Amino acid sequence: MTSLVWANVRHRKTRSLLCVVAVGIGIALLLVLSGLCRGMIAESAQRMRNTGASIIVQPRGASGLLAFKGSSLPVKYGAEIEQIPGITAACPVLTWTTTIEKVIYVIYGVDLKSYEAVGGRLQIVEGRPWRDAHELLLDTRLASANGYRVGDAIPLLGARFTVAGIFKSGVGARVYVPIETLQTSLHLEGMCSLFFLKTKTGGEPAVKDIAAHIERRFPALRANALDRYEDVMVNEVTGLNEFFGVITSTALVISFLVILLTMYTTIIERTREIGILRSLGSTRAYIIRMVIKESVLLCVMGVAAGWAFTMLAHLWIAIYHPLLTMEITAAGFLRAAALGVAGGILGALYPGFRAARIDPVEALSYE
Amino acid sequence: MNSAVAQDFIEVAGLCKIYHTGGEDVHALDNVSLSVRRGEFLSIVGPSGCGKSTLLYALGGLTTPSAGSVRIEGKAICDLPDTAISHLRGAMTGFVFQRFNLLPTLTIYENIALAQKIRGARLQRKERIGEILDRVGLGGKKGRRPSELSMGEQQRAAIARAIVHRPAILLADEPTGNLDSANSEAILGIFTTMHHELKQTILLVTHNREIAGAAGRVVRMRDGKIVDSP
Repeated sequence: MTSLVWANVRHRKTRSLLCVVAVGIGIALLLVLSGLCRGMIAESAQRMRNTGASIIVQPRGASGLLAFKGSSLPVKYGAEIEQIPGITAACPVLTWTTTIEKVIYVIYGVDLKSYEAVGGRLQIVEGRPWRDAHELLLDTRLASANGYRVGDAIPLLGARFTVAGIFKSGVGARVYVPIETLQTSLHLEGMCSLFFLKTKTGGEPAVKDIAAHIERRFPALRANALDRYEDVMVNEVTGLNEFFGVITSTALVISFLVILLTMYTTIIERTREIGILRSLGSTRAYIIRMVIKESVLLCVMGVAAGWAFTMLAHLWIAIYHPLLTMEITAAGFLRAAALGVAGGILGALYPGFRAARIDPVEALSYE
Repeated sequence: MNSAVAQDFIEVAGLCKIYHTGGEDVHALDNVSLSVRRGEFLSIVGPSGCGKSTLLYALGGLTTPSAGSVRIEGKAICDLPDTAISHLRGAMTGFVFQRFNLLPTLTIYENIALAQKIRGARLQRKERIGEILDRVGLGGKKGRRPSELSMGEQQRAAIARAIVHRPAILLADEPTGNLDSANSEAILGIFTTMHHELKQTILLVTHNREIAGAAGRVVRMRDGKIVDSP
């Protein structure tokens, strides 16, 4: 049977190629979209963890993603929070989103000394820290992607900011400005979006106990340990899990429909062949297995093509969109492969059963 | 006892096959009864549409009769489930068609090997296929696809596929219908040799009187009925 399945795939090259490409596109769509989504979230969470802070405090109900846009926290809460046992420093951060060169970025308004106190030390590789209210710091990825150098002027928040320094990427936001400047620009004097907290290391109370303490003391606030912030982001971003569900289902449906259509047309085309096989003694189950085997072979080839397309997309994104992070994992590849093959098997069932039901005598006289 | 078994190898009793086409009932077989002895070479002749092929397909379990029974070695095949009848067809019969019906995507060797695989033959498969291809004169062409062979060669390959598992019954539906006289003669030669050497039961449907005359018995059909069965 294997030789027949393989021969059929080889014999109908155009049909097989189109089917493989279509399944491959479905697989690549799944891997690229979910990879980008997960990659961006993972990278954001990693950058937040890299600040060195242990806890993030936000107003209850604030978004876990996209800059935590909102600024309903008085900066003065920081002093009260610092009094809680186990906390060594609190840094208020005012976050905002803005566009630079048509790309949306999160910017952090911070006081650099306070930021360093919670662990957020920016490793400046070019230039120096800001000295003026309208100076800013960029990370290396953003600077490299847009060709910014120290001393360049960037229009931001209705003013012109000068790049004072470029820091090694991977910590917090890609753009930092003085918190007072951001507050003034946004008319949010005395307010911030969140606090990063530094806790005593290696001792009690544990970070989660401190977070719980903060929430009891300030019921309007939400405190989360940064080491599990990726989960918070995924769970709290409205529709993200649904989005993953939609693209997963889309890949499955594409695979299902492509195989259904391909195998359905191939069954009609090969009606006579089915009659021949039946005359040789093949059972209905044999015919169904043959159809499923052929679809699985096409799907496996489609999955391989999908993996190749994904790797190409990954390369293309890395070259032309360096600020995007795409996460590709072996587990993700295997999941996509399983989905593609599952879709193919489902899509082959109806044509398979239909082929098995064909009357052998009618099939043998099929022109 | 042996002679009684031989007399009853294939028994067809009251066989009817009605096709419903265009709102009309077409009686392809109308109360056909026939007995075939083991090792008999039987020709079935008659005009087109008289039910010869339908009878052959019913004997091979490819079509289910509307009424009546087909017994092979006393076993009523029409009552068997599809899986059992498929296995029986694979094990006991070999079909040869007018249009050869070789799978175009496979080589001659692969066509025969696939048939063997379907029938569950595993041991000495390669040797047996080589032997049978030599026997039909295609030993040197086993790697060719059907489209690369002449019509006569294709039919010889189809015969090789049908007899490779040494079936008890060979069912041939107009095997020389698409062939010139030289090739027809060659095919007939293969059939008669098989009949003499292997004592296979052969049922051959044909229009050709010369071909039919090579058989030990000729059955004539008309309008779905057997009109002459010596």
